[in-house]
Amino acid sequence: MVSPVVLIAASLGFAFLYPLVERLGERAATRIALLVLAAFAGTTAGWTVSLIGSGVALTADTAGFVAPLSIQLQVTAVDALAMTVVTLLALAALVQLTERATDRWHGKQVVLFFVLLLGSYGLIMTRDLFNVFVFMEISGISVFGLLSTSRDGRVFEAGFKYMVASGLASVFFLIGTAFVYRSVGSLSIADITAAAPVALASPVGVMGLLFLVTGILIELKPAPANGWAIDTYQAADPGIGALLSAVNATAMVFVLVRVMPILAGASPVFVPLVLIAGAGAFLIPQAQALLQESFKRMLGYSSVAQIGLVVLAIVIPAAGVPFAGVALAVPLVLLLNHAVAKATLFWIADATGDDASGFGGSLPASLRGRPALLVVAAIAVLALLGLPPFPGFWAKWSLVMGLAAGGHIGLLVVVLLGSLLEVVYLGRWLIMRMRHVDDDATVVSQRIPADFAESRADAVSGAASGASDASGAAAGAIPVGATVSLGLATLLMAGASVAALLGSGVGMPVLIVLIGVAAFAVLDVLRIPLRLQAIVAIAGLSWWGVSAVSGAALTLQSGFVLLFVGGAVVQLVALLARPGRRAGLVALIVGMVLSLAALTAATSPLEVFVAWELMTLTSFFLVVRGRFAAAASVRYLTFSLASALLMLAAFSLATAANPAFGTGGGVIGTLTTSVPWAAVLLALSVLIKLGAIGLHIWLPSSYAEAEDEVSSLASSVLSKAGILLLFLGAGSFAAPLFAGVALNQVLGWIGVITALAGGMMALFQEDIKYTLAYSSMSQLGYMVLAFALMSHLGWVTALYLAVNHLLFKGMLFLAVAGIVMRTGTRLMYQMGGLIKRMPFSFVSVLVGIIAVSGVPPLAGFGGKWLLYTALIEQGWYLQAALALFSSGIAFLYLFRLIHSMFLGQRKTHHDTVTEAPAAVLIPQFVFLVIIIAISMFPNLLIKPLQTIVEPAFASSVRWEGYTVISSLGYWNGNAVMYVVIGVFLAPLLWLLAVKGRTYRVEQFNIVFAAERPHTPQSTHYAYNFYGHYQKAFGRLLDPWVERFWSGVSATAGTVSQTLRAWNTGNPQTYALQILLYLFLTYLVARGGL
Amino acid sequence: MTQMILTKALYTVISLAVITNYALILIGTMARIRAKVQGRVGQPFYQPYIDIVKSNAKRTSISHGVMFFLGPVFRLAGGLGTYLFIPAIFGSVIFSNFSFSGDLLLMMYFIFFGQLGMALGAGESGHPHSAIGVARGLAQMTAFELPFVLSVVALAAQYGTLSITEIVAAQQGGFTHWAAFTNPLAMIAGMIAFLGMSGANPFSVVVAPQEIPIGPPTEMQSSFLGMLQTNRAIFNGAKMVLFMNLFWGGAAHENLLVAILIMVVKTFLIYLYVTIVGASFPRFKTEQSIRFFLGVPTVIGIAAVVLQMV
Repeated sequence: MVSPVVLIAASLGFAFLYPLVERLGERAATRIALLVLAAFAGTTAGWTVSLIGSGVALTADTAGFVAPLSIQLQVTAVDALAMTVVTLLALAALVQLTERATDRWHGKQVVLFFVLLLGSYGLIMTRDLFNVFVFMEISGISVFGLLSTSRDGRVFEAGFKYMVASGLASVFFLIGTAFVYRSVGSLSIADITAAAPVALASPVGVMGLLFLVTGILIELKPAPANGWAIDTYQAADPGIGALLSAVNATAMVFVLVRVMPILAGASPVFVPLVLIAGAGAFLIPQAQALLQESFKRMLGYSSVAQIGLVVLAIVIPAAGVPFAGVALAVPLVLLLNHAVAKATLFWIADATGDDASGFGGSLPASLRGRPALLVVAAIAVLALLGLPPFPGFWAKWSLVMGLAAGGHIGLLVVVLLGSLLEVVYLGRWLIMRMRHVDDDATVVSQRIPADFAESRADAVSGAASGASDASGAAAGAIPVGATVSLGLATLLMAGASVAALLGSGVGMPVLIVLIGVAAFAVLDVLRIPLRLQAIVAIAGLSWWGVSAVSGAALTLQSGFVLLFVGGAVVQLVALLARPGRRAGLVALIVGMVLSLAALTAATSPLEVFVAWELMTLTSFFLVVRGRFAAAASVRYLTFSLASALLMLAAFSLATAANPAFGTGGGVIGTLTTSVPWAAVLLALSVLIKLGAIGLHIWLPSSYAEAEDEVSSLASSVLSKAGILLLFLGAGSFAAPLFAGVALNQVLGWIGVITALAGGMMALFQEDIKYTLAYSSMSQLGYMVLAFALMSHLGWVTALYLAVNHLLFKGMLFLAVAGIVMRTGTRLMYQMGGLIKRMPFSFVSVLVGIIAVSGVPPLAGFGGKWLLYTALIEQGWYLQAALALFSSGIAFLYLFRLIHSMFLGQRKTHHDTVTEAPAAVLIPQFVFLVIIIAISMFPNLLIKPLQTIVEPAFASSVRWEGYTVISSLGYWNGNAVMYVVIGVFLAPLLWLLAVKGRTYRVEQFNIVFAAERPHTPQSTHYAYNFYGHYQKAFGRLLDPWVERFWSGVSATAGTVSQTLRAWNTGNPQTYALQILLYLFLTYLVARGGL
Repeated sequence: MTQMILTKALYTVISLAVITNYALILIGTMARIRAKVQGRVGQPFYQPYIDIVKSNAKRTSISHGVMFFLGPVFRLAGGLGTYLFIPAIFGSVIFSNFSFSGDLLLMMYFIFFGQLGMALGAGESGHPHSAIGVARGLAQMTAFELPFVLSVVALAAQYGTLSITEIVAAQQGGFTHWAAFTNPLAMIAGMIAFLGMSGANPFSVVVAPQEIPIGPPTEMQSSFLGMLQTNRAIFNGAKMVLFMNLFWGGAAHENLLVAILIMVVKTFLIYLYVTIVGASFPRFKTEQSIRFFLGVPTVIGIAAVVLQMV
């Protein structure tokens, strides 16, 4: 095996030889440099392969002595792995830097690059404290050299700041080393570690270590003493940013890893000190980055934050026991995940030449129309956010579980809060880059155009300029170097993800999700048209769904699989109406459906969480496809991931209390926890996903601004995931909270108020999709209310409502999709009189709204009957009354919907509108037939639902033929149907008998007091249909919740601004901050501030 | 089986004939009473018959489309169904109608059936006044629905049942057993809601029949209008019978004729109350009636429910 010394010597040697090599020509020299790097990568990879699993380390002593006299270099399997990744990233970085369009690296830049690499290798391999100092200096000087060669004044200034700061850090480290040497008499880290408990426990030793650790921490660029580093990231070439973040920072973390055992052995003050430093370094930059407008600076904040997280992970080993040595798996995975992802993002910034971040319509949608770059960027962002299936996810999971198990609740909050902030700014960046060029990213509610010609012209020209922006950006080709390096990084990430996934022990259902997405992504790459993909998806999902449930008894699990897969398969037919290609659509839909199915099959909290996150991700990418969905998807992503983080917190607390938590698998109550806080967090998480009042502001715009087929899927199928989670966590929600009030009672009230508020808001929407979205929110409220009853009838009701909602909301959204397709508008008042042009859509909407409103004889009434019976049975009288009231409100908006679109006067330009395409109508009529069937024979649905619920509760209703009898009342859907048919037919036949005298007249044949209106089509009464209702309620209808969240957002912005102001850009201030940091560490170590 | 169905059909016809004729006469009588209050002679009590016959005898009629055509059918079906789901006379086989199909909840939701169909039909007429009337009517309906629902929930809680027959059964044995006296708050909330349900003054802005032609029937004529006029009688009759059953002990006697007489007297008084209130108060605007119903009556309703909870 190659000796570690060789690597050091080779780096240094090649750096010295490079000027000679360059005599062969600049291009040839850089190619040779790349070959040398490739050889280094081969060497380190060879070490990794031979060392992994062997438990031995590769050791080399220098100058013919043995340690402690010599400088010892050592490579363990972990070190070798890290060095391999570092070398590969360095290789990719060098390709990117030497093969780009402008400002290619050559000469001394390549020399300094190799010196930097040498420093990093040294930091990882050396086992000698003084030698660490040497390599720190080598790294610092090479970075300064790279920065100071720039002719750009700002870069030069940043280099100066970097030198001052790293100089201070080195000085601290050196002072510390001197103190340590004085106490121990050796510089070998192994010797010092062994001697630490005795020799370094004295005040002098502790003081020395304090200097030492502060020096290391400063090198890790911890907030709040890192303004100099942030300035460097912003000013420097993104290529240097990538090097700093991927190579240099990774190596420095290893120094902390070496020193941590010394610190922990010497004094108990150091573990909390490093914990606090790590927590601060993680949380503060995340907040600072929120309003960041320079993308490179934002990445800088993100880098220092990620290193903060790694520091936390080093101190808190995954095993969950308080510090007992350094367990490296979690921090190492986090570190490498970060290195690859962050380098990728820096390279993308370089390739697109686009440093703008933040928000606003003027920002270029620079990833639009560049699918490959978009996929790479998305992978990097998702990996940084710690989302599956990327390696960071598993590490974050272990870290959070460890934190909860160790009782570090404060740190848990820090990690989750920091992660959420990261979601906001990184997610926003991604969304802004991939949004549609017309989207000014402000759309979170319906848009009613002002009725002026000028403003319309403005809008059009604005869109046009946006388009030219983006097309300009898209026109710039990606340099070869960036393509190679991004490809290499993505391969690395993919390889690591696969390895992590296979090592994580998650079951087949989760793997199937990823396989499904990948398979359809391949079809996209092969440019298979959408229709063909849809057919393949329908066939595949049907086959998979049938094989998953066939032969299985009807349980919660198989029931929900039927619901998810069946509901989605029927709606996929609608895609056949769209010709051409729509990259990613089918892959994401399939991914969403399969992740929902995986959620039902999960047998551990980890699998539940993975499935939940995958569902969130696939649905997010579906939502963001909408033409004006940028702002809505920022909300969707933020709230969905907030929900996921709450769930993670709940799971970690529950698992800490009971290791067997959540291992039952897919049955009611699997996720039951007796920890009240875990139950509350779980409830909150689910309530966010269900759009409960107060947490709903993401829901309307996400459902409405998504593409039409996606809206229908999201509202009818996806929204049921929350209901499934409620059932899985059932036992948790009966926990008493305070003063005898149980969690489920609170849930019940939240449910009924959501039902009412959703209905109220639906009432005043002019945009049909917003009406339906608010309606979904309201319907989900009913389901929560019914579930919260915690009774047999309540649960049957919740499931009944879920099935019913899937059917009618699928119908309504698809009908609307057809209408929008034909009329080109979503505003109801711009429609009208479509009944004669689109009769089938009318029938579908009619049946849909009757089913929603609960008017007998259709199935909707079954839901109402069950709900009120269940509520009154449990003594929830006020809730019952409120629910009935909101069901009246539902009647209002549903009538408005059908009237405004289909009845009244038709616009003249809609005279030639044709019926929706058959592919859109077919799924509607499939649902229609099912609705009619379960209306005629309610037992077809209710009895199976009883079977699902009965493992948890004994039945509280009995059947006599078609009559279902509860303790309070009874209902015979079959008889109702016959009576209704009877009373309907009698007058109809009478009318038909006299129909001979009836004349059909034109639509416009109406009269106002004997005067025919001149332009009857302008008399369509539809705009502000319920103006009087708004008047009656007055300020009660103000958007309180929207205002609250705006306030939260503004406060976060203010905090971010305040924190950002700390980084003044002045080197003297930065030097002072570093000194204060040292002082602060001293105070913390002394046990008080 | 056939015989059973035929018997039931016969009973249904009898039951419907009784309620239709009685309600038509009642409407005519009340119109006359209102005229007297206003110092007019008024129409004969049989005027509703004349109206219906006249409408149906029109030689021409105009339809705006299928839904317009079906609107009145829905409306009448709604009226008929609502009546047929209520047991009109306690203990009578003939007048038990189809109450075995469902309980109070069914009835409360079936009320919407006719309204929805009619609103759709009126909508297809294309006349904006129809839509305006519907918008007002539906908005007002949700408002009075709240106190009504509260009173119904209070009754359901009091008697532990949602079956109308059982609620009536529980009120037998003298007028002190009537819900009106055992649960006065629920009765008050319910009876105020009933004012809105009847669409008489002060809640008549929905149809505003005299001043301007507004409201759902704006474009309706001939047989369509006749059907609506027929329904008005049946639907009103059904609602009065419902309220009689809920709060005023229902109509029960071993002699069917006496029982019918009891029903006549009770529903007459209920309608008289609506007429008296209507004659005494001016009309509310829609937003005023919404606020009214969501104010005092709702608070009374909540009080009735809370009393059942403690």
